[in-house]
Amino acid sequence: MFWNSLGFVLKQSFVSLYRNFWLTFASILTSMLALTLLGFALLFLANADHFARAMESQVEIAAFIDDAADDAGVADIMQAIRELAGVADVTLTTKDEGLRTLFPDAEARARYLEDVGGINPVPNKLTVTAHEAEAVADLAQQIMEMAGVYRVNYGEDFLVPLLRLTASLRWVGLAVVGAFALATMLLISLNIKTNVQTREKEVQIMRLVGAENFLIRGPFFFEGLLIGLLGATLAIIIVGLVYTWLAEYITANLVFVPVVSDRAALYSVLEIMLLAGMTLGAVTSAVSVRRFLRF
Amino acid sequence: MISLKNVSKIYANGARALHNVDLDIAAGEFVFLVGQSGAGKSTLIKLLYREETATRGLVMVNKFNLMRLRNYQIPAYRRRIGVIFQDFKLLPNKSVFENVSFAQQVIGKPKRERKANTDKMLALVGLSHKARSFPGELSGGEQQRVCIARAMVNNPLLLVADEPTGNLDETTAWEIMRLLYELNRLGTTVVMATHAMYIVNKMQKRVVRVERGRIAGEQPEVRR
Repeated sequence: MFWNSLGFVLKQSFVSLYRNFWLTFASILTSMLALTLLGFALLFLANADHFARAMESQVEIAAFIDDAADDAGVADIMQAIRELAGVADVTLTTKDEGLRTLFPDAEARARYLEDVGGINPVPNKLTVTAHEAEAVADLAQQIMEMAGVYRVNYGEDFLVPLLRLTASLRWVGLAVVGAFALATMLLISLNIKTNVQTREKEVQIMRLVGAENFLIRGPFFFEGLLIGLLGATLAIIIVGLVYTWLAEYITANLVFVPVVSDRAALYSVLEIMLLAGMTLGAVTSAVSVRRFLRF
Repeated sequence: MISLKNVSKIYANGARALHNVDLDIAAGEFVFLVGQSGAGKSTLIKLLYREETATRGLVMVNKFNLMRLRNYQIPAYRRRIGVIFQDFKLLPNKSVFENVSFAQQVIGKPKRERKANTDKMLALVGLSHKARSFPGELSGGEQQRVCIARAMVNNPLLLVADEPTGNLDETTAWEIMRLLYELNRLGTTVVMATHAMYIVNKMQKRVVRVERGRIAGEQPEVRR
């Protein structure tokens, strides 16, 4: 009986999709449009986040070591910094490396050293990167308090506005996704509700001949699922192709703009679109038809 | 077969459709419900196929107490009765064959049996040649014959008809009445609401007159 009923429900779904061809066609197009918007909104969010991360990753702390500290003392300070919570990496630029960076030319370097009395005045420098940009100010404070560190520089004037910018960027991304997700939901559900309403008479007749509710609701559920699936498939093709092209174009022509070109991220968005399409289609359809099933 | 005791029906908007109705119909009877529009005939019919529930009283149909019928029991009840309407109520996207077969499909009859029964019923109503047509391609009389085939395909003991000839010309109406007469002769109880007095007078079956929600009078069947 179960397999008979399932077979009946599936067959009814396909027959109905085929016989209501234009309604099916319009529903698939609407779902496709809504899901395409959702897909681009999700990719906008991913890029906003990616851009924010790229900006934040450039924030680092420069800690300058007192000349009184010998090599062992410098190594101790490095170790102490590494042990601080939130530190991602610590690298040392020695006095000599620092001098070489300032004066790459050996002659100029020698002349400079002579001018300053033969002692290299460039300090040992530790470059510290943090896991989170928000933690940089706190870390800088802790490093400054360490013995042997006489100055810390982390771009105080630049950091606060940057954090504000990246936070707003993420919020804007989320708001865009929220708005488009809502629009997608409304578009698909309104469309499928209309689809079901035009077939109210059909539902009434099925009830009259004694069809169980699940036999009436089942085909609508599968129809919604299939419409969502087909709409999502088309949307995935559009979003996938357009975004791949756009990402390649930007990467090639606007090298300073960080773009998510990671395949895995794109596939995640496409998976969300597919799931959203199928779930919205099936659930809205089943819920809409419930209204006509009350005795 | 049917027993209504002290039945009243008041709709949600306060309209009183039936008032203290008592009516008994025996198995195998053919009963016409007559009366003006708004008299309560259709409400009475709706109570019988449990589209509406009485506000008060007792409605028994073939051992089913319709006042106590739970929502989940309604589909099972409806499969035991046949219903036909003035506006046919056929599924527009299903062929004639599928419309008739559908009523059996919902009760899980096997395919072979469904086909045999549908073929038999379509032959009975004279529409075997239209099995593949869709309702929109049929005349009013043909659509009503499909409805009868659908209503009768599960061999119900009771056939309820709400103005089944209302949309048909006189000749076609008589074709439908001939079919209903035949089904009744074979043992099906028929309850039919109608305005068509030319049919009622000619058929000389039991007549129940409904006026302002009450049973205003009865006329027994004329035995020939």
